[in-house]
Amino acid sequence: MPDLAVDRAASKLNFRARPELTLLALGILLVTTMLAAICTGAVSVTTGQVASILMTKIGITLPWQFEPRHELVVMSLRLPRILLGLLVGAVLALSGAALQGLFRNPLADPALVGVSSGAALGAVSFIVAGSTLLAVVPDGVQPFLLPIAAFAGGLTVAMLVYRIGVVDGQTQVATMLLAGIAINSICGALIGMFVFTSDDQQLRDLTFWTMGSLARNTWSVLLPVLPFLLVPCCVLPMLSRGMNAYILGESEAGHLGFDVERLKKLTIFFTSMGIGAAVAVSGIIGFVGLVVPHLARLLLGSDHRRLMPSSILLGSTLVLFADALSRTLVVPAELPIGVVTSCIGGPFFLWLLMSKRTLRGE
Amino acid sequence: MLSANAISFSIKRKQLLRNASLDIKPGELTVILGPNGAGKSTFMKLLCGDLQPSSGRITLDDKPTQNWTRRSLAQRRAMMPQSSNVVFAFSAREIVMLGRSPHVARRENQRDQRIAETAMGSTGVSALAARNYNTLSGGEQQRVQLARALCQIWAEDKDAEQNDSRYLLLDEPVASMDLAHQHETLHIAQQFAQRNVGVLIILHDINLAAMYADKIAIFEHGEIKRQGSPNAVLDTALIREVFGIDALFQKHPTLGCPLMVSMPKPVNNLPTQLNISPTGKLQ
Repeated sequence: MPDLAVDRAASKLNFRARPELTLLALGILLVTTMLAAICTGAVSVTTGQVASILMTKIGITLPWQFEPRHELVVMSLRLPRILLGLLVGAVLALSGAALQGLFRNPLADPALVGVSSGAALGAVSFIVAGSTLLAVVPDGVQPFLLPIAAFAGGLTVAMLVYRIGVVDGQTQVATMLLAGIAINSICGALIGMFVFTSDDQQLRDLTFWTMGSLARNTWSVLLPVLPFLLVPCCVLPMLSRGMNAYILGESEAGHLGFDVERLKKLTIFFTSMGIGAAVAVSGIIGFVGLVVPHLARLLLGSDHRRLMPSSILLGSTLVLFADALSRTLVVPAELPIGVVTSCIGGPFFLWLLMSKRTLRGE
Repeated sequence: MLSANAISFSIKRKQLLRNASLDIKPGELTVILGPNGAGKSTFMKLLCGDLQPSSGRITLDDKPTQNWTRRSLAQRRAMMPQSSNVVFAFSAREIVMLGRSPHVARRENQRDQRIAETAMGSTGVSALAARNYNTLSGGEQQRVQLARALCQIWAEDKDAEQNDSRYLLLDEPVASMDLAHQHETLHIAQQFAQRNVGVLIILHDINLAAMYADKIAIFEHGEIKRQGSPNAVLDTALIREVFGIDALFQKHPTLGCPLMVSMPKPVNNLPTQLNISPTGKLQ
């Protein structure tokens, strides 16, 4: 059936031939998901009501009627939660794409290689031991300390895994993944120890750290981590061209005039910053950084100038979708969001492992 | 001129290169020959900036390479590696286009695209442009990599061709190519040399080197043993000394360059039979 094959090639190419249109379509998909996520939940709100509520804030009255409880649900619960999901999804997927570029391997997911659990350990240690620190630090800085601690934990692990997993500029895939397993269990054990010995309210919830949740959705939690989520989203895409050259190899990127050492340092620094902030507010949400960049590559190819923006859009969409499911599947209880993402990501990971292309690095 | 001035390189107290001096002049095609482990690749890694010499210095147009910015060096000096393992699915065209990186501010323009297409045409990979690089054969991948290197130092017009010094370094470019593509590749390199590019190539085939080189440098034990025109350098005594092979030299019937006919080397270091004692020990 040669005709079919050509057709398939053509339909596959169409996404790549007009990358702007594909990105626009992904943007529309994201906005639709956001709207659906705002309207869905234990209390149903219509799109019209949401529009009315938002417009009232800037003094415009729309014809759709809403009750005060609707306003409360939308403004204080759903909106911060959706913003949180939007940013966390974007950062996780983008960091996944960047780490995969850094390791030159499609299996380098922040959670799999241990960067996320390093960040979680950083956050947990801070909550346990940080009270002494809080006394000496000025009030204005205090809310930023949690994401900074998570950032430090993630950075330590990222540098460690890079040291262990990359020999002479070549990623040893098995070593990288095994180092990830070891780091995950060490961090997991320490987090478990802290959680079970502590009586801190914020710590009691182990599933928050291991399975993730967007339920800490207050503005006061969201605002301090905002810069730590936004900065990587701005900086990492600026490294796209260097990252493209880096895929050819370290020395090849050097021959093309890129400062490879700087590129690697910036990538490790800003992915750790993003993952640290994401973990500090939402725990470890697995597999987003693995699945999303892969889908984005299938859609738009491996050029990081398209891969990074499309990962941002798809990552946000996936996390918002998973969160909407986790809020509605078992009402009035809530599933940890990691349960949903792992249901999607686990089989996907197995499929990646089984397809020989991944191991050959294609 | 890209010059190595008395450069040495040691790693872990092992000296891989000793006091090597070689000038790569625009318009000249220089070929490096020598046995495995003679320091050829180390020399090229020093010239392309992968390694820094332990002593001596490398200059480009009389200015030490450290005093150039990375970008302006990359605009003048392109390197084609022995083999390149590209993870992720990049098309051949995307790989070639990466060669334009040092000339691009944000996004490649139409001129960059035209140069990439022309470079692909010249190495015969236009038909493979949309293919995934990883699905190409070794020889095809090398031709894509060559197009990328050409793209990187492509002169934009006649003026640039005459005035900008440009250098092309090729580390065993014909290793996995068939005979026709070997000649095609070296012919392209020669054409670049004729357009005022300084070309340096590591080869193993002495006859190919004799046919295309303006200058040959013979490496042995980390030193440049001899350098000069093919006629001046290549002779029976040198081949016996450096490669341990008996060879006769004739004049190439049509080109006039040296033509080597090598003799089989008698292998006498393999034991004809193993002497094993009744106890099972090797005697």
